[in-house]
Amino acid sequence: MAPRPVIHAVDDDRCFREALERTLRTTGHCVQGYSCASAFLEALDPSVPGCLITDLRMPDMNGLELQRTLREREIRLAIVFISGHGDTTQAIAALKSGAIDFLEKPFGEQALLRSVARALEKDSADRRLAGERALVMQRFSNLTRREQQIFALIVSDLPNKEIARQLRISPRTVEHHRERAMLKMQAQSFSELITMSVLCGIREIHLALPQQSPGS
Amino acid sequence: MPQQPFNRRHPAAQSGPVAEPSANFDYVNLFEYAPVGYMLLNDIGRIAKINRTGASLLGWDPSWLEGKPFSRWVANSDKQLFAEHQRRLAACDDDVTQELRVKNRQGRIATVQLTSVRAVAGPDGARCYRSIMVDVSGEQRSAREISRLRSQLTHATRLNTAGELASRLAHELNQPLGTVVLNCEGALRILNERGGDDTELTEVLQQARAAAAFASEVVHHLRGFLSNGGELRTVCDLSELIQHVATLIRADARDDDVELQLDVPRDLPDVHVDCVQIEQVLLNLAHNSIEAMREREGGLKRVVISARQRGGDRITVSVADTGPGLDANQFKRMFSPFYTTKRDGMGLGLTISRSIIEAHGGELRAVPEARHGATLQFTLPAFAMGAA
Repeated sequence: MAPRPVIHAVDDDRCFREALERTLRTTGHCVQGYSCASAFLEALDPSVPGCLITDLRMPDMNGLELQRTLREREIRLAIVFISGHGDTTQAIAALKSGAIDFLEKPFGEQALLRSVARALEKDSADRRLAGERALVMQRFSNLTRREQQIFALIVSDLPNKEIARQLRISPRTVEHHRERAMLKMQAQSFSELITMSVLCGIREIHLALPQQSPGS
Repeated sequence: MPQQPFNRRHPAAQSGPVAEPSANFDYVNLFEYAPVGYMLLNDIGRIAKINRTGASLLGWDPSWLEGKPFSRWVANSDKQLFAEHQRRLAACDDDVTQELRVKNRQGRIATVQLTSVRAVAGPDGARCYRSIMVDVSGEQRSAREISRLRSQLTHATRLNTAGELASRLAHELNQPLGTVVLNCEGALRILNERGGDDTELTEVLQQARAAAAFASEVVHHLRGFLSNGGELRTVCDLSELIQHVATLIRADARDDDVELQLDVPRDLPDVHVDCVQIEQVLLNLAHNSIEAMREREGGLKRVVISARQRGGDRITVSVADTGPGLDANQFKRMFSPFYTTKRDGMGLGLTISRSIIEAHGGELRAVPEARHGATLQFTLPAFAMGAA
């Protein structure tokens, strides 16, 4: 079973941080509070799921800098920013660089819990995706060069005959490699193989989005 | 320009260029093109002699001006001042200075500083006056400009400082207010979860929460007001606004044993107002009512806030109490700044309230001959779609 997600709360105002911790703790969350960004960075275990709630203004490192540091360390923790006063420019910058939400003090429990729920959802989706990607990448690396080549060609919708012509091998050999690739990738169906190809970046998805009807 | 020393007892002044202008060519030029206007006026104020600088101030040739009364060029509004100037000259031996506005040939007004002294003109002993005319319009203009710029600067600095202060204040206050809001909500939730049916406690927490939210709004508003120099008007539901104010004063009313009653229909038209400002007006009126009844022993103590739509486009909000009411003097003076009947009042509440309501296109007044106590009433225009 996956460990319980931890909500990291960083705010230099002790009273506010305690109120934040209490609210989250008494609504069934696991919370860890920190008085500054560096204390949080020191204690953080990126393998544990969770999210981060941080004030934008802090003495040692502001919220945006903390966000940048996490990105540089390739830690994808969903972030909810809070601020003592609506600094629009900072809020926009934070949201643009991927923050989940921006809460302006004073905010109510409902707003906080909604944002935290979204952040945890995002974190768990991110982690599931990262796990799946790692798994797929690992299986992909077990394929032979030939199998990898054929994998890339079949997921781009080329018929066996055409693949055979391009690789100058017989269609039977193509068929053989294809079966081996499906097996090694542990794909139950061709469509699952396509999903895997997207996950490990072999194939990009281009979705033709339907035009929005006016007024909807 | 520094004031010229000018005294008839000074030898140079006595045998000056006016007396013998043609004696020396250099002196003539010095006289004619001096940076100030020189003028010799006879005893009835006619120009006997004027240099070029002086003449050009009036827009004419020196020779044309000779023999004409100087007062002809004095602006109508200053003719009295010039007459006074002459009277003073006739009465004393010292020089007399007067600022006058003169109107030149083109009709342009210039301000000149006229300094004159009594002199003896010639062998006949006829009395005359020597005058120096200095154009000070430029100085006046720049002095005005300087004072205008200074006041702008002071205003800008004040606004800037105030804006900054408000911004810091907002940040500092929203920290504890944020704590209060979260803690109140947490307490309410925990209370509810534990099945406590404590309405009193629930109400206390709800009011604390509402007050913190209101304080934050005030801070937010103050900040917006000071940094933009404007107000924040939105379309809002007046009955909701009144309910909100009622939440804020209910506790005060109860402490004073005052019954708070609302008579507000749900279907009032919207108003386009600065909600915080209107809430402040209502709070002010309601607090005044509660305080007015404080001294009352026994009897009914009640504040009624009511709202009605009047005609299609106006809403009237009244705050009525059962206090001692207003005597003639209070009725007359209650809206004057610094007028107060409270021991620790500033006397600004109603003044500010009135200016807020008037800025919203409404009126704030006391209802004359209210049956019991005092009734204050304000109107606000209803919000019409497309009008704002």
